[in-house]
Amino acid sequence: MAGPDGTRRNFAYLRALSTPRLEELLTMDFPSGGEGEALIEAVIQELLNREDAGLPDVDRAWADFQSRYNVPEGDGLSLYPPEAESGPDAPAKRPKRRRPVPGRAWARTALAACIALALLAALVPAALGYANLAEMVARWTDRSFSFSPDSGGEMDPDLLSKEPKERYSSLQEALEDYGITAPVLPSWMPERSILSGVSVQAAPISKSIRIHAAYFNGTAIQIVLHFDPGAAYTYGKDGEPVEVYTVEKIDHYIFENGGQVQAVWRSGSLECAIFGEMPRDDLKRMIRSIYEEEGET
Amino acid sequence: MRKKLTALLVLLLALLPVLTSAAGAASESRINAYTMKAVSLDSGVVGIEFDVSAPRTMKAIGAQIDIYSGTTLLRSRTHTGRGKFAFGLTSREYLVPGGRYYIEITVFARNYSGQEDRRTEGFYVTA
Repeated sequence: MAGPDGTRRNFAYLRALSTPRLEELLTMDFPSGGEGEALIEAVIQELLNREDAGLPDVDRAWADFQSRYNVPEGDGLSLYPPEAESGPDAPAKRPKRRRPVPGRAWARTALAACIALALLAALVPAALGYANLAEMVARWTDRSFSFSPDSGGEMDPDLLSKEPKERYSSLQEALEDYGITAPVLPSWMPERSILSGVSVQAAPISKSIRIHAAYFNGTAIQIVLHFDPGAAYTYGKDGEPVEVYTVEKIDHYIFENGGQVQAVWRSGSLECAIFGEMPRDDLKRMIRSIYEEEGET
Repeated sequence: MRKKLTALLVLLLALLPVLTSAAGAASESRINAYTMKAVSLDSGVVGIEFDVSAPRTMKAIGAQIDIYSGTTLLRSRTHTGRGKFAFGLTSREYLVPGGRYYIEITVFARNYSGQEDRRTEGFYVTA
C-alpha cells in the first residue's frame, strides 16, 4: 500500500476536482483493497482538508451566482444595499455639481459687460490723455476749455468771400445774411435784455468768420458764433467742473469764468458760445429756447 | 467667480476718482475766449492772427508776437487796447523766403487792478 507520500503523489489530481465531484467519487463502486481503497482514502482526506481550510468552492459559487443573480431581471440593479455607498468603505464623495439656474448666466454676462464698459469708459480716455469720454470731443483743464480740432464740420468757402453788412439790426438778420439755418438763436432772453450790437468779422488767415451779438440787461450777455472747424477757440474757465447739458442730442458745456457763466457747443461747422453774468438756470433756459418752437418757453 | 467679479468692481470704483479727477487749485481766468494762428501766406510772407475777449472791460487786452529764427529773437510786436475784445487782428510779417521760423503768440488781458491772464501758443512756420 502506498504511504502518505505515495498518496499525495498518485492522487494529486483530486485537488483540481470540485467538491461535488469528490463526493460523487465516494458513491462509486471500487474493487475492494488495493488501488480502490487508496483512492477513497485520498478523496476523503481531500474533502477533510477542504473543510479545514474553509476555502469556498469556486465552481459552486459561480453556478450559484449565475442562477440567482445573473438573470435578465437583475439588469441595472446593484448587488449592494444603498447604505453601502455611504459606509466607511464607500468611495470618496464627488462634490455636487450645481445645476445652472436659468437667468444667473445672463446676469453674470451682463455684469461682465458692465464692468468691461466701465473699464473702457475709464481707461480708454485716460490712455488717450483725456479725463473722460466727454473730453474726447471737448477737452478742458482747470483753466481752459476747447473742442478737439477734428470734431467740427466743413467750412463753406462762399461764406469767407462774402462781404458783411456794415450794420445788422438783429442777430437773426446776420444769421440769414450768412445763410445759417441751424438752430442757434435763443428765443428766450433774460428779462430787460436789450441788443446793443451785432457784428460780423472775417479772418482771412484762419479762414474763419465770427458773428458776435452783445446784449445788455444791467450786465452784459454775449452770443458768439464762430465758423472755423479747423481752429477752435480756447475758453478760459475757473477750476470748477464742466457741466454737460444735453438738449436735442447736442452737448452744451457749461462752466464759469471770472464771475460769469458760459455755455459752448458745436452745431455742425458752427462753434457757439453764450457768456453772461446770469443765473445758470437762465442760461439753460436760453439754451432750451434755441430748440423749442415759439410759444413753448 | 462672484468674489473675483466683486473684487474687480471694487477696484474699478476705487480707481475711477483717480482717473477722472482734475488736480490743481481753482484759478480765475480773465480771458473769455481766444484763438491764434500763424501760417505761411506767400513766399516770404507769414500771416499772424489772434482773437481774444474778456468777461469784463480790461485795461489792456491784446497779444504779444515774438518771432524766432532758431533761438534768436528776430522781432517782437505787441498789439494792445482797452475794452473787452481784441477781435480778428491780423498782421503780415515779411521774412526770408524759405526760412524756418518759430512764432510765439501770447494773448493777454489785464484788469484795472493789475491782474493779468496770459495764454501762449507756438507755431513753426516756413516763410
